Amino acid sequence: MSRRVDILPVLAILVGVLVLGLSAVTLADDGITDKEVTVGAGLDLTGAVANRGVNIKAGMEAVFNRVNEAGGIHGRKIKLVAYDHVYQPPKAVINAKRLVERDKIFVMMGHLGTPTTKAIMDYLGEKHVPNIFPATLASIWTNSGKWHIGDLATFADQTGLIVDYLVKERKFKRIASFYQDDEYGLDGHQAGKARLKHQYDRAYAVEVDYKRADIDFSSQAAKLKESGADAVILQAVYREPPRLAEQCHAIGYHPLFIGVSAIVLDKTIELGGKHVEGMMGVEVYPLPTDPGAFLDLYRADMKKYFPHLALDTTNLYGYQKAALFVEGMQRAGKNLTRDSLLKAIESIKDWDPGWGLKYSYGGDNRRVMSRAARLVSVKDGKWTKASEWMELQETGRK
Amino acid sequence: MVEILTSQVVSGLATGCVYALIALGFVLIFKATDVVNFAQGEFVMASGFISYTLLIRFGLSYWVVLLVTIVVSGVMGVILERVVVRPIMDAPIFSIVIATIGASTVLRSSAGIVYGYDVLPLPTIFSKDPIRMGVLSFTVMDAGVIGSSLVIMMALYLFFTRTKTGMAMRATAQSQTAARLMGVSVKGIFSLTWAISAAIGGVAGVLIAPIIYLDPNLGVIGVKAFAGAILGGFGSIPGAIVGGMLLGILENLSGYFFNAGIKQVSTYILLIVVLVVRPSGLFGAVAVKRV
Amino acid sequence: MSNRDNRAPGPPLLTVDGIETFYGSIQALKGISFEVPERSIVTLLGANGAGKSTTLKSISGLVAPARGSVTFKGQRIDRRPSEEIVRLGISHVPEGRDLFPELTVLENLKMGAYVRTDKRAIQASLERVHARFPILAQRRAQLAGTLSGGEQQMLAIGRALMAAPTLMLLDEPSLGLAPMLVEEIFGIIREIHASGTTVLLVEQNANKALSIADYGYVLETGTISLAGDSRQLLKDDHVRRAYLGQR
Repeated sequence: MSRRVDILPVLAILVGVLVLGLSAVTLADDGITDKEVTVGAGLDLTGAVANRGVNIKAGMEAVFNRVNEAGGIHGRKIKLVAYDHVYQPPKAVINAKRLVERDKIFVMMGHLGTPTTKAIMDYLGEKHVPNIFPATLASIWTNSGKWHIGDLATFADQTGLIVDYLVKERKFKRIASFYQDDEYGLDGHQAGKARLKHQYDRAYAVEVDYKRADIDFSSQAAKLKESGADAVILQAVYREPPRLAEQCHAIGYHPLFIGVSAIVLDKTIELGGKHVEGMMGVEVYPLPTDPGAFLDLYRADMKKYFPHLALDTTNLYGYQKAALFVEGMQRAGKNLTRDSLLKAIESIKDWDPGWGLKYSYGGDNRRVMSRAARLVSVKDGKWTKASEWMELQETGRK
Repeated sequence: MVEILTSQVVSGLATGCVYALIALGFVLIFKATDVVNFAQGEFVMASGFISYTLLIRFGLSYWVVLLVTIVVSGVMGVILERVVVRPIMDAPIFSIVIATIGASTVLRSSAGIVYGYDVLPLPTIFSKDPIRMGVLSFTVMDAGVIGSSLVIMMALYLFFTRTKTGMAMRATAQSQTAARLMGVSVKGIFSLTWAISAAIGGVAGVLIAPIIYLDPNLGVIGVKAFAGAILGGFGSIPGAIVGGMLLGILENLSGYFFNAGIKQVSTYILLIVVLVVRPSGLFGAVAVKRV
Repeated sequence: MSNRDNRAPGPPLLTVDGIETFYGSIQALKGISFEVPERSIVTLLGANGAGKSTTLKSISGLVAPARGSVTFKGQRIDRRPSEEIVRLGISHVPEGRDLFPELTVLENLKMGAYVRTDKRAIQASLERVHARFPILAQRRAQLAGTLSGGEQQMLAIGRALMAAPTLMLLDEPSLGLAPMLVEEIFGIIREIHASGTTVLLVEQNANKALSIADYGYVLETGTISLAGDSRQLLKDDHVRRAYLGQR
């Protein structure tokens, strides 16, 4: 009996420590000191879209390295902690918990993949950890409340542009959809369906899906050919369009292939060779080789920090995210909190980092920083611009 | 319609032939040593990278590359057997299987460290241009894959039935004790079995990597091939071939008639149906009883 | 047999000296010593579990004795693996025959000649085996697993003969066979012996075994309890009671 009495003071102290600890947590946000701010990222570094993960990480690190070497932002260096989720939602969840609870990140930055980011969005919201510029242009980040914010024109908006182009400019009658059967592919697929119906009173000539790990699209090619579609809209990544094109050509079917920005990668051309010649896509930021002060800085930083990596749309994608984040941090000032950072990012209006395109928060009630887009096509083995820049209207699914 | 269906079957058969080659590797090792080698898919992946290196970095000609790749894959098989499997040959089968899973992870990670996780295009001599023959419509690539696979299978058949070493391999699979009493070095046969299985996996890699592109995760194709081997009755060589081919065709047709989701699970649905109706698989050995 | 009385017992072809063999921690042989003279038939008798099969396995290298030595044609062979021992001229027909059931009869015979390279000599051996066992010639294309018990025993012996052995180890060749077939098998053993092959025979049918053997050894729980000329053993009271079923 006496032993139980002895435990009481110990318990009291424990409870006291816990209470103190909790109150300390509520006083300041995690992941931030006067000297450092910890940024987390979940990327695919070894899986099906590892090419994207590796390059996005490099692009972000190039910016952070330069900023840190110059003394950081308001005296704070940026520390990036990135984990590999292999493009698998369950792993993404484990990584997010590790980042938030063990590494105590201040924000999540550039989290890769639609299904993977969707798997962690509620958790981040609960923990009040901002989900900044996830590396997926799904429309969901732009309308899911305060903790989520996207950077570039969404796949849904891009698909609206594609549909308009195919119907109005190319006068195509039959348009098919080839989409990845998950949150990523469905986003653009549904938006295109809605656009066709509400704007033009039409439907897709055929809808064919595929699964993330699929390697053979001969049955999809056969269905597309049977539909007689003039154009096939691709809601895919870089592996599938070349293979699909090859397999369509193999059965003597040569439609126009046109995809959202996720397919506009040099890898697509490297894999597809002559079979992707003439393929079209949407671009939502300039090419790594375009002129502009911001792009000069990008090229210099990449050469300095990642000399072995080729300049590529994907590392530029990561680079511009980080640059936009740094701009937000600058604006938030010395007294940085998660709330003040988000407010600072939301204050960005007509900001041109130096490449001719402007970032402006919002519009159409959407939490997104840019709605610029242009069409490109593969000409002589290179992505080549096929239209001028335009501002997209909202066509996301409603 | 008929033309589209036949092209579906032909291209499914091409994928199926590659499954069959990998399945053969599984079955050969299993028959000889009772080990299920879960690193079989990694032989396929590794050979893809070996031939990529030889073709792109060293600029060797395709046939030289093919030959060297087959030999190097075979050597890799022997090394795996000597280093990973042989030291624990007396351990429970479960431990050995786990060791092969470990080996597959090591191979996959090594490829990732050396080559990165990027997807690479592997050149091939077979073009992807279409050929038409009556109602048949397929690519040069399809024909090349099917033809090469059949040549390999025929060569294996001749090896097993016409050569003394081939006969000794079959004999060892049936009774190791008796084989030793005949003067067969069972350890030598084990090494040879691993070499042959890895070499066949190597051929599969050179054939499939140009089609589905090359990356360190290419080895997951081994899972499909494994299902093909079970379908045919694990342990049966004709079963592995027919099982693999059937699987390739079935996948394509189910994708055509249904959707990607059904295509993905069609393999396993067929597997379950076959195992319920015939638990020993399509070609499951009706055990020859000894009197 | 007429040659038995005037045989000149040759020098020992095989000498087994004090071998002890273990299966894990269980000691199966506790110091077995015997000799097999050249051109003789020697038989090992004993109850189940006495160590007869283990003795043969220790000679052919299927198990390695922990202590003691086995000497064949003047060379130590007790540390060598089976696949080398068969090359020296010892063929072991194991208990239960251990055929390759899914190889054809002909393939089984060819496997018997695995260690030989002279194709013409192998062909000659094959013809001799076919002449001695016409049924094996008739069934050459049949899978070994589909043969009857007697045919399988003939194939097992035929397969061992294909190695052209100097010494043949036979483990329970009559086990499970009908009386007529038992006669046939023993006839065959005599023929093999007559053609110059030395035979070490393990048999449960002690009467039959002793009737064709020159020497016999009786094993009991891993040791040799009795040894001698087979005619003497046939008369021995203990042997008659224990192994010949006579009172």
